[in-house]
Amino acid sequence: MAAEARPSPRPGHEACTGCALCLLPCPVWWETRDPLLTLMGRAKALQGGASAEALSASLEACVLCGACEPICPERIDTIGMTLSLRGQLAARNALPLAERAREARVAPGPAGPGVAGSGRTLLLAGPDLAARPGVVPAILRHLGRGAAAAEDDGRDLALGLEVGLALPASREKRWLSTLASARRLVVAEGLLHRFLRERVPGATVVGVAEALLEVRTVRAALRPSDLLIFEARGYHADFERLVRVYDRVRRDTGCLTNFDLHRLAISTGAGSAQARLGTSGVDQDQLARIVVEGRRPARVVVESESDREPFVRALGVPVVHLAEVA
Amino acid sequence: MSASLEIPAAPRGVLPPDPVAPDSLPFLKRLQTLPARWQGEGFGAFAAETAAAGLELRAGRPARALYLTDAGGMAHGLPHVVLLARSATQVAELLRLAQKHAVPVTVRGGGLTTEGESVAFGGVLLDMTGMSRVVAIDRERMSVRVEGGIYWHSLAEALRRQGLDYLSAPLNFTSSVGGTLGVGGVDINSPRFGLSADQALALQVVTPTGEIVECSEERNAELFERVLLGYGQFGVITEATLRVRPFTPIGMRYYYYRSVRAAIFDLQWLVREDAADYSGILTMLDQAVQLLVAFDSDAREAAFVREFEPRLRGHGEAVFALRMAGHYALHPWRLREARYLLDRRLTLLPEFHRAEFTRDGKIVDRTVVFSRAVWRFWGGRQMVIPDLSTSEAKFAEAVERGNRVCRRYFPHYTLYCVGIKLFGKRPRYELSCVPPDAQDFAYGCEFEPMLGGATYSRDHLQSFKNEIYDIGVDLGTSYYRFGGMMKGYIRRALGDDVVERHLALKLAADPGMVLNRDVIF
Repeated sequence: MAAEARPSPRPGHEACTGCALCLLPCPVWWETRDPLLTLMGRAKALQGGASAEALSASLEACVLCGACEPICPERIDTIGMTLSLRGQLAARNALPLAERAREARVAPGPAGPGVAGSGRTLLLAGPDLAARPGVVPAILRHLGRGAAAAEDDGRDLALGLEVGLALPASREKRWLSTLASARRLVVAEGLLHRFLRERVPGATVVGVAEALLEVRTVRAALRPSDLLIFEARGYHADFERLVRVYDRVRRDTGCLTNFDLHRLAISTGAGSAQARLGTSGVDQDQLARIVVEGRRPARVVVESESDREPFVRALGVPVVHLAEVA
Repeated sequence: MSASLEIPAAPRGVLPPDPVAPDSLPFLKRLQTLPARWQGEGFGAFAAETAAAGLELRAGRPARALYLTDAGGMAHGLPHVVLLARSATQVAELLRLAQKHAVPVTVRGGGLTTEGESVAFGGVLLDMTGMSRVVAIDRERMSVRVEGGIYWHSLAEALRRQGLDYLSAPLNFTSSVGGTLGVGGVDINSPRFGLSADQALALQVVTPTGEIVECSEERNAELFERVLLGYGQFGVITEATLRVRPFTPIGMRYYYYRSVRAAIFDLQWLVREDAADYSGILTMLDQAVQLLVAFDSDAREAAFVREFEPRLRGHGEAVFALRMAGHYALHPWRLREARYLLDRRLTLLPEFHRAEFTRDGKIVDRTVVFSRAVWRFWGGRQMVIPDLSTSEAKFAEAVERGNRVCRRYFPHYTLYCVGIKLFGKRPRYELSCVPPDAQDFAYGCEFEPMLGGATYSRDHLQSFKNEIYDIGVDLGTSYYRFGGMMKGYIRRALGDDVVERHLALKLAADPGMVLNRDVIF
């Protein structure tokens, strides 16, 4: 079995009623206002007999933020549906995004010098956190004794999963074996959350923000004038639980967030494969401006390191990682 | 009664008698207003000229399949091509060429029509959601300028960042502003603010012949009055200026009744007295009726509790629960009904009190809270929500008769009743959802079967809807959702004179009858 999403018992495109709710939080919709490039557009086109090839542009556009999933009244497995279609195209070499990923030859990633190890709490840093000096050690310091960064954060598997490329089962097995002793996985790449919850049932899988916001000093350092940018994929993958957790953070700290009125996270798409591979994706700066519009934060606090640059460019106020606030 | 079927010849533009089932509506004259459905004449030349003009028409299957049906899910049709609206200039060019080649154009916003009004049976589908941005917010004048295809929810999103809110809008995330202004727009604060259409200050309209016209009560007022509540017959709303107000969280209160008539009596009293900022009725069972009221301020709520609450016929939840428990103890064979009621109580009401949408006991973001509930409990593949819109005097009878129809067709259903403030006798109210005999307030009731997982045939659902509509004919009321398949009802409910007058206006504005041609006429 290669690294790919398992078939979901939840409904697929056939259940879409065309209600368009999924458009409301969709960053591609925010930017393009083109329904064909959205989940609903793909679902209705498939219902109308369209092939996956005919939806290539739409599949390339999606940043897999996952906001469409909690809002769907039919409970369609929106992420699974998009990943499956990407997989079909990638298998036929018909998805340019997958071709770029193949060419990029992403290797299993190290967490950074001097921080890798094993422990009951394991941080899967991903390429962006690992590349930012000082952030991974800061996170580990907050997480306390027994926390370490995984030597292999599965970044190649994450990218393969995102663009529909099936990686060898042996590679997946080897990676999962390195995580087997952990009781808690703190995972920066939100797309891996659901995947790991299925594959490593003995461990609790959380995002970086959830783990850090449990730390009293971090929480206490947040101010009402802060704009806290949550990583969208992991949040939406566990929305029903996290919406209450993060709502308490909002109440306690008074800080602003990148949530819309549904309490869904507006994504900049900066952590997407399109952004990593340099293909045309959404305009990250434009989406950062949309998040900020009508707000005047004194500081932006990001969960995902990839969001740092778009907000620096869009806002001109200090942007820090959540691990750096305390 | 004649049994013969004669199809009289009529020259183009002249309206022949309806040849369909001449004895289906005894003693009522029916007229078919269009000679025939469009059969694709002139489309080739139209397509060539639009391409030359740089209009990007989408003809591929994925693009067209998106618009196969509307929220009603009963009417199905495909356009020849789709145009995703991007500017008024582009829409104007499209309509100019459509007029020239007599190609029909069906305009769609959120697609939340229920009788196929936004379904294209050939021709062009103009998707207005491509024009869905906030143009400007004017805090001094407390107004907002938006593109016509914007969803009310997206507008709320932008306004909330400024501490503002719209006045009233449908309890539905994905209704578009342009579409709503064309049909009405009802909210639970409509007893105070009226229809959404009544909050429009100005419009940019592309006429059916392709002119871009700015209109308001002061400027091109006739067009303004025709387009508002005009069911898309007199132009495409490409931009709208709307009133806004400061945003406030709301405090809600519920009162329970054993009879819908008693609840209506209280609702109408509260509406007349302007006792609450928001009010409406929601039924769970015929004998479990909920009157909800809400307030923008503590002062208004306190005044309500002091002056009005003691005189209400309904009870708070605890008293009502005790009474119902007593009732079911004496009628144990109705235990299934009790279980249904309890289930509704346990699933529906918590939706109004989710922690993330509540602060200090008040609902924040009511647009989200109510719309979530609408989609969760009444959404689905087929939205079956026929309605009646009546004067105050006729409302209770209309609701009770409609309720009896519901009972015959479905085991469970909900009624949603709300008052609508009217602002005199505005021209826009004629041939609209506003009933002709309503004075200061109109009242609307939606009849919403709880379809759940059950499967009903289209015939079953359509028969149900027609029976509700027939009540309107009998009582001389109007409907919120007329149009589409209900064309026949317009003449029956509102009379030939008013329909003929509007048809003459339509023919003058749209000689080729290209814009939303099958909706009303």
